[in-house]
Amino acid sequence: MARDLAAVADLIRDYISPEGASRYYQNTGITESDFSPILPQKFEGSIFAIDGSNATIFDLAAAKVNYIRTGYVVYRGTSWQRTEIANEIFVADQESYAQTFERNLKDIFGIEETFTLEETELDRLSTYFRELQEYAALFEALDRAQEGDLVLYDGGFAFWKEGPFKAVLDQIFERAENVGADLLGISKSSTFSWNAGLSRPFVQDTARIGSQVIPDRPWMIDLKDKNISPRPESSWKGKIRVVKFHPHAGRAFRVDVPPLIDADRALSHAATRSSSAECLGYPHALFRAHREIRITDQESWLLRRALLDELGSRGVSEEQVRGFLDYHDFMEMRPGRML
Amino acid sequence: MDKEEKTRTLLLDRWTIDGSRSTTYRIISKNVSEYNFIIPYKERVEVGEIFSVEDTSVEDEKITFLARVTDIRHDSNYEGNWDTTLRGTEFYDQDQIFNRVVAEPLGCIIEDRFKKSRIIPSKFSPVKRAEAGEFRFLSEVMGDIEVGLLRNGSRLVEEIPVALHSEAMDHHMGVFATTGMGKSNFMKVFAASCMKMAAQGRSKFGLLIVDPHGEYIKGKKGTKGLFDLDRYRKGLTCYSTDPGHLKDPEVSELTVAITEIRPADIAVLYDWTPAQREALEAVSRIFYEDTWLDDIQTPEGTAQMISDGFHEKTIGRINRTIRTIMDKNRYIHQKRSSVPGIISRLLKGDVVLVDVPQLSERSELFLLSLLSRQILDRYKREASEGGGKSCLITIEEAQRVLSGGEGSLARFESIAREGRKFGVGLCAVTQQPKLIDKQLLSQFNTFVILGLADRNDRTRLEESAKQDLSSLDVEIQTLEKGEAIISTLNIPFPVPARIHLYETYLEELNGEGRSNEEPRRGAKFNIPPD
Ligand SMILES: Nc1ncnc2c1ncn2[C@@H]1O[C@H](COP(=O)(O)OP(=O)(O)OP(=O)(O)O)[C@@H](O)[C@H]1O
Ligand SMILES: [Mg+2]
Repeated sequence: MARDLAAVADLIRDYISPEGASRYYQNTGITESDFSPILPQKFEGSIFAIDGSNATIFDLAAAKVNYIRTGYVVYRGTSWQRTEIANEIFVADQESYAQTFERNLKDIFGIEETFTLEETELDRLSTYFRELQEYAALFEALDRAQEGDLVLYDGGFAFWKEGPFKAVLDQIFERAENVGADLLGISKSSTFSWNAGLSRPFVQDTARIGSQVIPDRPWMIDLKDKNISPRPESSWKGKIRVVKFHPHAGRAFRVDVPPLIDADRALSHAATRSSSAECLGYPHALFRAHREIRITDQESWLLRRALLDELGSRGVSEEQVRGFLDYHDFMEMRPGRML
Repeated sequence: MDKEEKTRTLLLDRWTIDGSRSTTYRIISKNVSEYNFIIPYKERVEVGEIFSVEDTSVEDEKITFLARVTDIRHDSNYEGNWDTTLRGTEFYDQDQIFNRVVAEPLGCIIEDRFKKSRIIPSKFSPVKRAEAGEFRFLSEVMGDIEVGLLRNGSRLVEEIPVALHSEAMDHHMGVFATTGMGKSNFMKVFAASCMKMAAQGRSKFGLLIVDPHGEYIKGKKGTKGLFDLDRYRKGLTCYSTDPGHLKDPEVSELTVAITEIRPADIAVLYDWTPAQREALEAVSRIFYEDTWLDDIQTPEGTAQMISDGFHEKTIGRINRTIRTIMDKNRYIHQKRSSVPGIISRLLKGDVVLVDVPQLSERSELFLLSLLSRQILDRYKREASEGGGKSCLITIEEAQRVLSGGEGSLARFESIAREGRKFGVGLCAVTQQPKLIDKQLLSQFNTFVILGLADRNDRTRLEESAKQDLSSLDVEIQTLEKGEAIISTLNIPFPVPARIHLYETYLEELNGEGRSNEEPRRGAKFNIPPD
């Protein structure tokens, strides 16, 4: 066992140990001049940051009961103004989910399209539903935003090539354009990799190498036509960048910039508001959105208790509920998770 | 929308959080003996400040809890060592860091009545600085001898005077402070209030002050004295050995008749050898107690002592010392004595000031000891006949006589132990409570604690107090001149007070009754509108 672990550790080390810059430049097609500093621009507007979170309350095998929370925080300068939050329960039922999605698409975005998922995507139903609600929050935030404001979405935009979510994003981009607000999608994690014999983490290596090129300023790099995988969708009309928001931060982030957005201005504004001591190098508004919108274990446990009480008052015993639970849940019996 | 679909998704709630949904100023934890609440990190709060917690969670049963701040800590919504690894150039979310205030419950007010609390305010009950109205119940438990005003932190609550109870005085009082923190000032204020009561015929005890520094009668170094309280001078009787003070017709000359002196009184005046001590103890067996001083000095007396087994040299030595003492203590008189007058004044409930400046320490103790013995004897008699007013004997530098060890005076120790039975109390004034015997100190039921810098002094008081003072340690250490913590019978918790400055109080008392309406301090203090 110890020998096996050693081998695995070697493997992991290969993935994360610093790779020579020359190999990186060679294989990705990136050159030093692709890194460009983000220039400071005066910014007085508001910042909106959108996030979401979900937790499974009951896993009844055929259907999952999910607690979904989405919302956004509003900042003016470095001072927090308010946080808007919506809590929802979503029952992910593989037979009847379509109706739920279609109603939401129609009610919120006026989109009348049939909604179906591949068989393989069915277990991600609640993730999709949360995403839809995040889009709804984003749509609302854009409605409240004013010209020149910065709207930050936790996640990427470039995934959807077609289908209803593509239509939703089109609506969102259109609203951003009408309002004149700067919209950015900033991903906390990225699967981009580059080939160095094995697939190396692209964003992390870029963060390291970029800071050697520009050590004392925030910077960005555009991924257009770079040799990374998966290849950024050619159908995506916007930009994809890797951005280091603060020179002293350890990390860089993938940022999706929708078409028609002034990327330089938006990124400059975002960098201006990424210097907080609490979360250096990440737009602070997103940091707070994450903290305020996440569902804690305790909250989902409380909701579960409340639901059990409701069931009890309808004559359904805990014992009966237990019998329907996914056996995984049943065996876990973790405090706070168990019934 | 068909019914089936509706059940698949359900909006539970939507809300907006903004600054107005503040989580500060609310009780967040933690148990019956300690409350925690948070305040914005820029807010100033002091140890010792009193907050009120309003619990309206049970309908029609509003309870107001009072709690005193014992500690203030930094706290935040962030975990880990976020604050020691700061790298950012700015701090954004000031609402996420705050101070956690630790407070000790004092009790609760239910329907205007104050009680010790056995419950905890419900979580998130709002907290605010206690206001005069919430202290009103305290006015009801206050006594009749005003000494200062209620203090909330370093702010005064002008509407609530702090007053000691006459009834507690024969249960002994201690006044403790590092030098210069206001002991003498307190004693003058206390005596002034006693004079007022006496002058108005309301006094319930007599107060004896033997003042070896000559500072109480007319003040010293720019301060005023008890004589300056013209309005209530009637309540004061003064005896003095100071020729200057004696010019005043209202000051009587202090005299002690030789017949009043007992061998035990003489014992404190000199460092007797064991043999001399033994001889002195035998004196009361051999002579009449009224005449022994004269008798022992006659040849017959000496012969009598020798026949009782004492050495001639010893007797000779004693006699010579006695003559020196008589010489030095001019107030010792063949016949005349102020003592009966002093005692009858005390029995009447007056303040009696014995002004003996320039008296040596031994002479002062001799006088105090003699007076105390006579007082105790007289009060014992009075007590058996149904009793009159009680009396309080002040001892300055009380550590000299209550240390329990060498130099300690059995007379005062016995008053501390059993004086209460006869209505005789001690008022021990000292800057070193740590030198006072623990058992004796625990007989004291009223502590007036002014600033005490020495940890051992504070510890000794905490060990002996009737109320729990341990949580007040920091506050006692940081008391400013004239600020006090008063722990006494009948007042449900140790009360933070600001002792009046005597000169100011004097002016106020002297002004009383000039106009028809008594000036009420509270009247000029307007509660600001909410
Ligand atoms: N209640 C008070 N309010 C304002 N000032 C006060 C108060 N009490 C005392 N002071 C100030 O402190 C000075 C010293 O006070 P005081 O003489 O009473 O101290 P003390 O404890 O008796 O000192 P010592 O140990 O030297 O006898 C006073 O002259 C006065 O200026
Ligand atoms: Mg003094």
